[in-house]
Amino acid sequence: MSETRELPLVEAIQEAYRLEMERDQSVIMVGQDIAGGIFPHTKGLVEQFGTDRIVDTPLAEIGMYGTAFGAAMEGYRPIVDFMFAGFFLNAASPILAQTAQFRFIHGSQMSLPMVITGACGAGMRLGNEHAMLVHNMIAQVPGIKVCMPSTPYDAKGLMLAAIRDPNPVAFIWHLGTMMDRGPVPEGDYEVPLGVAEVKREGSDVTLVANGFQYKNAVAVADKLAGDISVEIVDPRSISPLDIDTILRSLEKTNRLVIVDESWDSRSTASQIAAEVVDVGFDLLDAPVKRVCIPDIPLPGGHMEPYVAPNPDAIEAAVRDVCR
Amino acid sequence: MATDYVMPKLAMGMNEGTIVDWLVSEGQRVERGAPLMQVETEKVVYDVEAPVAGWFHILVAAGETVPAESRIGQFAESEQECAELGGGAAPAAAGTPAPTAVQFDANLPSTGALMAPAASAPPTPTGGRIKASPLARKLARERGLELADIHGTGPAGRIVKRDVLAANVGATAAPATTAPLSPAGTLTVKATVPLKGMRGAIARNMVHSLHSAAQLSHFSEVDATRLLKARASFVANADRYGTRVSLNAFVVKAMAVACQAVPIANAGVVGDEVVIWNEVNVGLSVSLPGQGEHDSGLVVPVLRNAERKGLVQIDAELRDLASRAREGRLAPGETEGGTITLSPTSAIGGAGMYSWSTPVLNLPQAVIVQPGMIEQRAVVHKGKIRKRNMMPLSLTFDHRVLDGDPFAGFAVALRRCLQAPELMLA
Repeated sequence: MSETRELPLVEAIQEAYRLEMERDQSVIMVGQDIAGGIFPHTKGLVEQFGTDRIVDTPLAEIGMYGTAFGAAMEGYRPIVDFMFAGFFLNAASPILAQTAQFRFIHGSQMSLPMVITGACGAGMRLGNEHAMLVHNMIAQVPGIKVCMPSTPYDAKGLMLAAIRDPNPVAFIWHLGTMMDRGPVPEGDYEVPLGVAEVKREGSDVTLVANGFQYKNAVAVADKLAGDISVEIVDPRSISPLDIDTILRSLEKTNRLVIVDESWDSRSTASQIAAEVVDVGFDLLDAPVKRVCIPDIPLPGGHMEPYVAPNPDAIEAAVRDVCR
Repeated sequence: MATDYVMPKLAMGMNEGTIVDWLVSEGQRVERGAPLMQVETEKVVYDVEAPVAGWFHILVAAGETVPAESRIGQFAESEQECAELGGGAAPAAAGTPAPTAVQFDANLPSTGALMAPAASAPPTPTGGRIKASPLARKLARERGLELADIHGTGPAGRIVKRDVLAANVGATAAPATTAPLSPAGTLTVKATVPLKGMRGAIARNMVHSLHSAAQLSHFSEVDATRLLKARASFVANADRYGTRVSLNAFVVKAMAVACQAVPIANAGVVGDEVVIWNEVNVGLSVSLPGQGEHDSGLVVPVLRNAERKGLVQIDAELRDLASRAREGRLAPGETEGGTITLSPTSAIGGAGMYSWSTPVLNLPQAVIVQPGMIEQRAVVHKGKIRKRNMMPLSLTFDHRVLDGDPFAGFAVALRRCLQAPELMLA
């Protein structure tokens, strides 16, 4: 039974929290409305672990983050939950300038084992700041790891790996995957940070996608099956980026389309394209295509699906490189 | 190479278009900007102009509706190319090669018409950059294929992987299908090696040499006992000289001395005259691994001005040239300008044979020198049968350039230097 148990992605995240908080007394949570539980991934945690370890804060990101930062310096392993990841920007200086560079600045004498988490993504019609994709902004800065799960299995395994990592890790999840159900083993397992996975084997084109876009990639691969054989690589982590798995896939397919729900410029998609052209030039039989958000602000409401990567845009890019 | 023409996307919302009418006929010359076709979209009928000039080949008939950006025609660079694109539909049908040749004679250089039936001629490069994907370039390089010989089927005529693979199949299949099979059909193909790239160049050069020069080979034995002693002295001082002077260095030096004694040996046929050179530039043939399991390669870097260099310098340069030749790091020009060649069979495979052969001239040079491996042999020395270190020596010369008498002078001078190396100090 446990082999085939299916959970929604938010419950997979919650299971990781419970497992690790039971196992390790130094793990605490600091966040907005995590005791109340607007988002179901924290529902019931305060009843089990109490308000000392589930610390609900006012809507004051810099103070909330400072609490966690100080706790980490004192030996705790805090999980800071911004609810909507876009609001991490209110605490951008302590995260990007101080946390990411903390170990470096202190001569490797101290580390900050923190998890910074929040949800984001287009398609929910929540408006610009709530949807804002921030994974690439954080990944721009060295010293902080960034991952984004595509499946409930990966969500639990990545979260366990993130909490246990001695470095700060941003665990960003997409609102559009919140209730996606998938097999999740009971008990302890980690999905290593910085390791991509070939989620679907194919021979004609490598399609890199994660988060909500992984679902779009699967839809396109299903539609094209029999015509174009699509191999899907889920990077799982954005930083560090597992370029080797992408290159190995390219050795087979020689064509690359990268889907990244992010602004096109200076994105993980651009980064992958640049690295592939650099070290995998001779593997390419067609130009590398990126499917991203054009460099414009995310419009709210009904325009979101047209601006964000969507199956039509992905299919067009795949067909283009397979001409 | 023909340029693809696609159904233009005339508006952001245009997903498909209907070709109402072609405003040109098949094979017609079209100038850039001239009316090409009428297109009907969801909204309106447009007249579309030709984006480039060329002879136009229609791929999709009027009345058809096709997706935007899909290929509907091709601009050929010549009338002939356009006819080839047309295949059986073109006015010059593929099945009637003779009229085709006559029809297009006026537009072709005379050799072009004689070469091959139009339908099988490879696409001619126009002198511009050849579009090919990075992978296609790599595959073509590995297989020794010229991009100019490959027809690109990717976007805008780009050569992609499938084109190289198709070309390679063609290249390797050709010898297999034309190879004489036994009547019973019992021969099966283990592997084929395309006569392309380096293999092709070697094949062409060897055949050209044997077809065009009057080659005469000469065999002798050299008593290399004192040569080995002289070499041992240099090897004993290897630390001082920074190199273990090789026998090849002695042979190069001896060739330079012999060439200066008999200048006509350091010559070649250039145009309609024999040119005798001042410099003794010695080509060193270096064997290379091939591109496949059954293949091998050969390159001849040139050591310049051997007549002005000492043994130590000659040896250092030989080693440098040979190692860079094996690593494929020779600079352009380093294989040119040779006036005579040394083909050291003793080096092949690390062990040679006590044997002779008929080395093939490296044209336009008049002489090639091929020492074999030194072995102890029983010879008559000073009236007694003695063990001596003997070296077989094979030479080939071009009888167009020099006759037996001067050649014998060169052979004797060379032999004298190798038997008594101290004479090279003269």
